[in-house]
Amino acid sequence: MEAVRSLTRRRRTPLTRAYLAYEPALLGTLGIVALISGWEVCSRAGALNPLILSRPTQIAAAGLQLLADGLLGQHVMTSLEEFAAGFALALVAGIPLGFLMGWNRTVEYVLDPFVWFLYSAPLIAFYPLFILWFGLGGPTVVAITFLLTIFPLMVNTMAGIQHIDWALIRVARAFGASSAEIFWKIALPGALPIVLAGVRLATGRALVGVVVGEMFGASAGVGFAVRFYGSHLQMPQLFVFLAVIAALGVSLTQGLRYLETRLMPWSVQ
Amino acid sequence: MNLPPTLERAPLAAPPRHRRRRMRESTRRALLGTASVAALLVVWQGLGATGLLSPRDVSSPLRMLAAGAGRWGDGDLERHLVISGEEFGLGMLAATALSIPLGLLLGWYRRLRYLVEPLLMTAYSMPRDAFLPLIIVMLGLGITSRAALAFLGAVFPIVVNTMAGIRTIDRMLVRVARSFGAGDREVFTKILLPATLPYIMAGIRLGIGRALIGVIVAEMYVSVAGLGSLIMAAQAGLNTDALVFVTLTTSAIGFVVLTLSRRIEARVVPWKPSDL
Repeated sequence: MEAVRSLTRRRRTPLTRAYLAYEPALLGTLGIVALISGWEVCSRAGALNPLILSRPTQIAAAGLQLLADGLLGQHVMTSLEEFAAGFALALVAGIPLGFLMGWNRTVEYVLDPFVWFLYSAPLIAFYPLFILWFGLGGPTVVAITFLLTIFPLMVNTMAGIQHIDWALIRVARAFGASSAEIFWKIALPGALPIVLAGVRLATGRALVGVVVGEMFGASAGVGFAVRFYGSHLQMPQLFVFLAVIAALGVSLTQGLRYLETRLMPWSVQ
Repeated sequence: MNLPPTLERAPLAAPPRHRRRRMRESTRRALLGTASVAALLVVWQGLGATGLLSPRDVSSPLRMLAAGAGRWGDGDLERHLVISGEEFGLGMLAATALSIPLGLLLGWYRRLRYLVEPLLMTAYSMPRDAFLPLIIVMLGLGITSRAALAFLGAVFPIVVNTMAGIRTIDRMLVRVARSFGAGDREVFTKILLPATLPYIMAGIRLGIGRALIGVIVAEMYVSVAGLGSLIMAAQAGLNTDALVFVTLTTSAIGFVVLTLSRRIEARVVPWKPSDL
């Protein structure tokens, strides 16, 4: 068994060790290259229908064309603006509300039914209602992004505050710490890991809100582009925007992970 | 690799109190919760009556219920509910059947995991609802493409969680079991499965949430059948009462399904790690 063998110490040449250090990156790259070249070969050999599944070279060409036209940048900027607006509003409203819920039982009990219902419900269903209220376009996309994002932020901020070790606070008080010191030195570092986990969860949801929102009722943005090119059967362009959405997802997740390690080196991942 | 954050309702961090005190606390929670829901309903009903907001825009609890009663009477709602349920069931069934074995394999074989991890994590962290226009070109407007979106939503969280679960296993346990003569079957049922099951269940719960969104998005987009299509039909008819009713019903069904899956999860894997 490979796993068991790897536990026993083997003597390794420097070359093997160098390979093992880069193995995840090497094999990962190999996987991506294999997918893309396999796709291209199958498409050229006629195993995949290029009219539907396109092929990597066509997609790359379409991507360059869209980049040169400025359409790619335009759609991405629209989506990023909507993402930022919805997410910022949710942060500004959700974190203080979650803080209050964590701090004060009465506030928690009053908001509890709504928060738990809306946290678990598939809120994307509210989209048509939002279109009636805010019309087609940017404001509705921002509103649905806000709605999808605020509840994970509230719930995690509340949980973060409730997870603070009260014994630490009592000790700090006994040693004469001021309220400000308790907030900055105990409450904040104690709550931050859970709050940031909420931010990470919320980022994923915000991206869903932006993309799906744009698919339904917008005239710009990456979600709109996917719908537009899909309904015009322009498959290479459709794949370009799918790749852009994937890249947005990955870079947001990785960016947040970086932020987490920078903001709280004390949290053990 | 980070585990996906799957936050459950946090236990209150207050110091333990007397039983009677805790009883009162839960009553207070129930009372305040009920009161706030009731207050919202009264305000909502009142808004239309005072003319502050037009019931044409925000409906009202009574108007909404009247619209709902009509829908329920003609069997329309049940028919669409069954279709949505079928799509959800098909998607979840396919996702579970594929992703659990795949996650087990990827968790156990290091090199295999390295090979697909970048692709897997990319798919995991993007909104897969964006594949819908492509799916429609490939599979048409029928139930298959709507179930396919549910499948795409659910499959990646389950794979990633199963894989993470296998990786938490202490390989030393496996070695010990083997040196005491355990076969593959015993290692699997006595060590791998109990250790991984909480992660698989958490993955399925996350997957259920994603599959629900997938079904609704697909139905709203295609607008042929299912609860999502009812929502779009009410919107197209500018029938706010019906729209609010169907939207809230859909949300409530999603809420109930997810809450049930949490309950079942707690039953099936009571040994679940507290941070999962």
